[in-house]
Amino acid sequence: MRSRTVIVLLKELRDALRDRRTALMVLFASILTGPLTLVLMGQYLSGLEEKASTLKVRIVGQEFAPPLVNFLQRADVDIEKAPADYEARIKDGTLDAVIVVRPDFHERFLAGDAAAVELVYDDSRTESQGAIRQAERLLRAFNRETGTLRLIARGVSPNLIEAVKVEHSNTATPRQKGAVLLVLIPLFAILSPILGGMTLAIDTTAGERERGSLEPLLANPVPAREIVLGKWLAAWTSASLVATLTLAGFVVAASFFAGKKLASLMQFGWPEFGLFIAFVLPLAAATAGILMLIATYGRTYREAQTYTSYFVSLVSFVPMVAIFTGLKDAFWQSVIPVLGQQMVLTRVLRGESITFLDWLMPAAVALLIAFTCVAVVSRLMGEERIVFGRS
Amino acid sequence: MRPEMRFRIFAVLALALAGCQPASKPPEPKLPLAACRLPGVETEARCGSLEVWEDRKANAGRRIAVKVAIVPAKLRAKEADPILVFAGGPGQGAVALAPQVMPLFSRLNDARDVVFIDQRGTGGSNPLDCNGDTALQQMFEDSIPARVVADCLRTLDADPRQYTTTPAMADFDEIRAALGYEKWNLWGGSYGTRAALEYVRRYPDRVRTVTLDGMAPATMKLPLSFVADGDAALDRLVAACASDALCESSYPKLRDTIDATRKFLARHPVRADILDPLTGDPETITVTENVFLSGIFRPLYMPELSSLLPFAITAARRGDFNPLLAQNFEFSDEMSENFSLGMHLSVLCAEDVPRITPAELAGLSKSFFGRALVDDFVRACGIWPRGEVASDYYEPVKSNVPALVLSGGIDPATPPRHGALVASWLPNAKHLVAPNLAHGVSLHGCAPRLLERFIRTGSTEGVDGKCLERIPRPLFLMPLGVHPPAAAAR
Repeated sequence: MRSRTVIVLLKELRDALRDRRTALMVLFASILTGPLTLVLMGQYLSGLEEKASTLKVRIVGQEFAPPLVNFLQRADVDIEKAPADYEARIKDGTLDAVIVVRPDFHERFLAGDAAAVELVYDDSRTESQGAIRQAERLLRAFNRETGTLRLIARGVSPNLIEAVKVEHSNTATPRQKGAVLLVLIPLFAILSPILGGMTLAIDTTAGERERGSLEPLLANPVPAREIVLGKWLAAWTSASLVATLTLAGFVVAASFFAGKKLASLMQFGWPEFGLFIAFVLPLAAATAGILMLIATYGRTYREAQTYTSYFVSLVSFVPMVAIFTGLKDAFWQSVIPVLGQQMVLTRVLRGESITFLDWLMPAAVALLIAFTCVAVVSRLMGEERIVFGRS
Repeated sequence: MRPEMRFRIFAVLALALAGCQPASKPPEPKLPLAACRLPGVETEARCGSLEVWEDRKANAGRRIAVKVAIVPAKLRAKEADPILVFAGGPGQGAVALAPQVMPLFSRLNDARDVVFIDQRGTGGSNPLDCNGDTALQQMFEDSIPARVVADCLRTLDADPRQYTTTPAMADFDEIRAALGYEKWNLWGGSYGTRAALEYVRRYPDRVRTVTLDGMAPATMKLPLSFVADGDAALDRLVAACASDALCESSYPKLRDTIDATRKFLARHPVRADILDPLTGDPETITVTENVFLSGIFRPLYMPELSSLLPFAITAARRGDFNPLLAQNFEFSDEMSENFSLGMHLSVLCAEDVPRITPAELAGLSKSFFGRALVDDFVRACGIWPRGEVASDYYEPVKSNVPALVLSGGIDPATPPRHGALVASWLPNAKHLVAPNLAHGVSLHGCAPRLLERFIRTGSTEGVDGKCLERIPRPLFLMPLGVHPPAAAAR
């Protein structure tokens, strides 16, 4: 029996590879996913960091505010003269925030009256938020320094205006902070085996049916379940291969960041890779089985593709729910396929320790689903309406 | 599927999972560390302590615990050489400085541990604390009353002679070995530069880079050097005020005001009514010439604070000592919480004060600050036991280690002349001067970026100090209600 299953498995894999172009496309796509994702993300993050680390303010009327300019120069702030049409520039998004100093600033400052400055911005633009906050922070710091010195000059301790001194104790490790950014990796880990197994799952069921080759295949004196098992193994193999390549791509991409400023956030190495694979391979077994089951109902390749695309949407929805509802880890999640993997893979990224039991439950559920699907498909393959039904 | 196949798949997966567990744990360090929190530091640290002989020559007698705290690197693949922080004073504990120093190393901390060691006699390492009363008078005066020193000596469970720089550096290197570091990057501020340089002398192979911020070499003879350097800093302040139109018109002839106040107080110490800066309670203090001089000297350490000096001096001339008091109150408040006077005396009374010659003391009368900053120490060191100093302690430290020397041009304690001297000993040193900064450069302006580059590359190449020259002096505080000069109001 096994040899016949293996024959089917090898035949299906060979068939899949025969379509070189598709095979190569899948290969490249899965290898490139990681680097592309992380490089784009890295670019975005270093852009944020760049903005945060180089302090820059744009001022109109800096000649009216020598004390403020002096403070900014001491704080290593790059002061730029804002153009006269700053308001229009802010509206069209080429300027983020501008501090406007009025001509009576110095006079009022020296008199001890609150000297008004205007902070002009458009807060509907997310990319402006950093600049707005930065300008506000600097103005507050200037206020604070001036106020402190004025109090001391009056013989008053500045402690009086700082009733609470906040000391931050952050319990998040850098890896945990990074895990928030790497949230895409579990998503890819879950979706890549589905995309990798889809072609084979459809081609070996609905495809054969459409081509009319399913009927002679099943006419062989071989039990349907052995044939189905072979086809499923082929789909699983392909799914696992694509998932492995995709995740390996992430490891390689993360290593590009070694030594860079973002390195502390991009901690996805071979140990994480191993754990991911351990969770993804059983899941791939389940998704390959489900895809086959769905595709079996398709009369044509295209029809099956439509059905399976619903499944892909459904699966990709689950991690989104987990991310946006802020689910806390709980045991019940481990029995729900996809959600269980999503939760535990996030824990892997956070650097938490994973026990064998953490693995066992989702894996058992996934393998159970896989076997059920294989069994059901085998039964369906024995039904006339599936094998012959064309309408 | 057959059971055996199922099993095989299962086994393969289980193996994959098992293969991800770390194969072997790293060897346990000789200095056990436990997770701890350093107040004001956002991330978790690791703390421990190493027991050493108080008397390192005898290797017998009292054992003291030297406290260590490490803020671990954020990366798993971290650099082997951490950053070691040397605190100032002498007498400051390094661990308690962490919240102030960590922002400086926030980037470098990605790949490097930052290590804080409370030098023996400070912080959590058998601190030689002398809890004198902190009456306002004390806060105002830079005085070390003989009674406090004598009381302190009686109560300490320590041999004060063992708390000089060189044995403390031996502690440091023992800790380095126990923590398993091959080399480290030293960063020292103020007295910490002297300690770091002594470490370079004794353990040159253990140093990757050294950053010396506000150089206080062993040869400088504290507090004698304060006098000349303080004079220069005050001269610069007076000149800066004179060249600023607003300051010049608000505080005309500042130099004359200072001299007149001083002369007046020398003849008639004043019983001044003041209000406690914190509680507002009325008090009376005696303002002598020395109180006035040290009251001017201390704010010079921080340019922001010294921007108040023309205002405070002018008020003092009128008999209102509140502004001057509040300035010094600010300063003492920051200093006193993490300061061990006994350790301070152990270092100065062994390494500096004995080298001051009678001729030098006599010559002080010609300078502005004069003996006001010195006499207290000479008196205290008459009581404090004097430790031994190694015979080569005052020799120039020769080393090829990459060194970044930072100096503030208006520093009353460690101005550029000291940095320049030490830089001339070290062929791979670069000396950067921030003309308008005082005591402590590293945290100001672009200095953190320069430091990051220096430590990351391990070389002073490309470390350009021009941006430090662009940092201006803070504008002087004006009495409220003055009018801006016409040019600015245009």
